[in-house]
Amino acid sequence: MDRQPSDDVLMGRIAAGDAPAFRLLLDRHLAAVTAFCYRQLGDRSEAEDAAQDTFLKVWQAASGWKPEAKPTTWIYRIAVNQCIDRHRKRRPQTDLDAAADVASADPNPEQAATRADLDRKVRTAMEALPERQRLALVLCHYQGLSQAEAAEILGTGVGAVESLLGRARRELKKLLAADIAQMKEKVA
Amino acid sequence: MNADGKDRTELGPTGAPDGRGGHRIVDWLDRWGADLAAWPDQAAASEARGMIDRDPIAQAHWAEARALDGLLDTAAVPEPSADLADRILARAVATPPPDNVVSLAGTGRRRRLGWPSLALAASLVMGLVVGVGVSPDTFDGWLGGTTVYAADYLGFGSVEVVE
Repeated sequence: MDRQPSDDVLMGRIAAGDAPAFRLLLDRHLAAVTAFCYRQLGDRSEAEDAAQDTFLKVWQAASGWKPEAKPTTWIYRIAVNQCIDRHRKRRPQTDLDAAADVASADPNPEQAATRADLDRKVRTAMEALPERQRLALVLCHYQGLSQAEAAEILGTGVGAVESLLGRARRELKKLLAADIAQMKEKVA
Repeated sequence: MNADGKDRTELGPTGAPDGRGGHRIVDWLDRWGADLAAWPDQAAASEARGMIDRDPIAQAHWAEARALDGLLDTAAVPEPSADLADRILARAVATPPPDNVVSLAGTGRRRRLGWPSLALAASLVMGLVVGVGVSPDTFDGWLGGTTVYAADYLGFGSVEVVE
């Protein structure tokens, strides 16, 4: 059985300038980090730029990574900083074309339009959340990280992350009340 | 006890134990989402399951939380460009990791020089300042005989070096 090296092992190799190890790390985590950046920035091209800069920083600073920190936590920390910097430099926006692109994969045009509309509403609501609430929700709900991991990435405690999540969900329930009512009928 | 080590009864907005279960479960659902199996506090999850089974209010809150989670999941993410990894790799190998870049533990911030380099530079500067300070000819030439307390300047005490 082919045993793949762990992320920790890869980080050691990357610090020594091992390009194939870096490629393996990209294959493992680039899609998730790009998705994370997209959820923060709402723009595909900007998300890819942020993901690129995140991994270039990983490459350049790999020798400074300490084994006591999980590589993914460290990578997400860099990505969070990238997104915060970019978010503050521009006005909020939503990439509606990207929403349409995603929805157009649906073979049924009517369903595709409904889906694109819902997609836009959810992303607009997410965009309306305060930055740290959005970060906590994306890390825990979309990226599937534990509250403890999100706390480490955001440099805070588990209780603070839970509080951010609570406020984020309460706000989303207000912003998406009509759609939640419709969805409730579907999931009931 | 939850993941924070707090008593579960402290979690609800009213702090009220059962009977007001509808209120308490909504706080848990807001913190941890509708997937009870993924809650960090499985004792709370088990208690919530009990509330959902017997209390229509708790059941309605859970349905609302599931609807919100379902709604969040409808927001899709476009696939990254197929050549993104190749582009990043190409840029990375064009700029090999510099040996003298030191990451400041997990912050992503960097400093260009390690501390030995900075210490060496500081020693050189101190040597120059002290060397200039103890040479009356040099200093008189530059400052016209001004009294300079070099040691004070360096923070080593008030030793008068040049008069």
